[in-house]
Amino acid sequence: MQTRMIDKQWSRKYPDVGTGPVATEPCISPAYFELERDRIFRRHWLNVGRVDDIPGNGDYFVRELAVCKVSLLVVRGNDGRVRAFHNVCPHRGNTLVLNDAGKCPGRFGCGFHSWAFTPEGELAHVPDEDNFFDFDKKKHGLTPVHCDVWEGFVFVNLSAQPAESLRDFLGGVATQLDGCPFDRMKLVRTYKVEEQANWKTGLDAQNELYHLPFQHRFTLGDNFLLKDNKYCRFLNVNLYNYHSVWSCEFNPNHQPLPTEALLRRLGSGSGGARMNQRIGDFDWYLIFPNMALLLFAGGAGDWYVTYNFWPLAVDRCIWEMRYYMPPAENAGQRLAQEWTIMALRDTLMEDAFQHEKIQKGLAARARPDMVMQDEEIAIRYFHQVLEREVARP
Amino acid sequence: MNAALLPAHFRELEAFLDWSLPTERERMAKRQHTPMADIAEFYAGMSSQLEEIITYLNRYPHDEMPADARRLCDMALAFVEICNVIEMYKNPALLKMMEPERFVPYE
Repeated sequence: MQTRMIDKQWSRKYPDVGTGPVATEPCISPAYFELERDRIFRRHWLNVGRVDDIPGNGDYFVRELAVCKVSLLVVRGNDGRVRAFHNVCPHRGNTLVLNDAGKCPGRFGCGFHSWAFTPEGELAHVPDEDNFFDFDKKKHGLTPVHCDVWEGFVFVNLSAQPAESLRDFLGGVATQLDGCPFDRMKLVRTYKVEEQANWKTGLDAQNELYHLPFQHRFTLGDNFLLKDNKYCRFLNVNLYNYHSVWSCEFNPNHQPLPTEALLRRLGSGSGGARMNQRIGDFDWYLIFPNMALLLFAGGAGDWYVTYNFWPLAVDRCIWEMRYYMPPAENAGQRLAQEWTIMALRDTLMEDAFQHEKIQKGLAARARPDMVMQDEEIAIRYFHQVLEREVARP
Repeated sequence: MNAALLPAHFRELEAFLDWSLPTERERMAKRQHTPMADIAEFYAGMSSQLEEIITYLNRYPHDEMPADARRLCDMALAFVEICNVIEMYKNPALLKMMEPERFVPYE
């Protein structure tokens, strides 16, 4: 065991973050939400999926970015490149693609006047084209959105000119995780929950371990190391320019439940990959603003989970969870994976319940701020980054 | 008797065929709406044979099972859905848990 069960170590590592409280107003104020629309979600790189979502040329998905009032068409062109466009016909503004995902049948056709676009976004055909005035098809392709890919994760940036490249934006996160074998794992499950909560309320609630022995006391068992048998503690915390990661170790003396033990024995596989970039047994990255990336050490191979908290309104969001695991080779592995999926899901269902209760409490304005202890440093830091970015004119 | 619904060795588990549900959404709902006593009965029936079931199912590629094995596999997935109810939670629905119909899985 490497975890040091000592108090107040993270504020000593990062003294500039301070120890003060975090204001509640950003989680409940409609005016602040409007600022976030413009200064957070319209300016920063946002993860919208993975390249695995569109493996073949012409494959596409549509991503509704409600907070930006934008519908995005993310498509792999016939040249293999992933691009993002406004899902809008440049003729008269009609929504171009109505499906959530699919394969482009050669052209994307607008339902209004049958303008047709290639998967690379070029305008290929206009009915009765000769009746337009000084018309140049090249000037009426789909409106592109900045799009870049890091380790298979697709990011978009809605600003006219991003302040920095995706690589620079990711900074230390990319340095830590370059080469991580994300592509060896497959999407095995997605959950979507519409929550009556601000997008940060859920993200904050996930961004610590302090709550684990309490909120999840009936569901979590003895998987985590505890100080004095009571309190979860981090192995490590790293804060980056925008992002953060905390890590922990699993309890080496964990006593598996009967079915868990059986499935571990019968569900081991050879196809799993190890993520040597892991810091602990479980790493939790916050990728600013609204993504979390969770890396897990697993018996039959490592696995990972992503969260995206998509704002709908100041007090509503969609929490999207995706689980990625090594491909199951047989029923034993499939069942072992299902056990892991189920066990985590049940704790997340407790979390989702809690997020709405927290939002209700914050909205009551009983207190102007939230006091946070040392193991809540990543939340404190996230709010400082948010304040900094919202204050940028 | 009609064509067997489950592989020969597992016929006695046909009493639990209503747990043979192909999607997580259905399995979550079934757990939520089944009394604890019935969940315990399903658990007892399945847990004693789970190792044999897995050994049997492992002979097939996961995506190419015959219908009787597929049904058995879906029952085993339902067993995974409820095993912690018996082994840890002691209740089908956790007290402070979002309603399953709002927590929507996509497989």
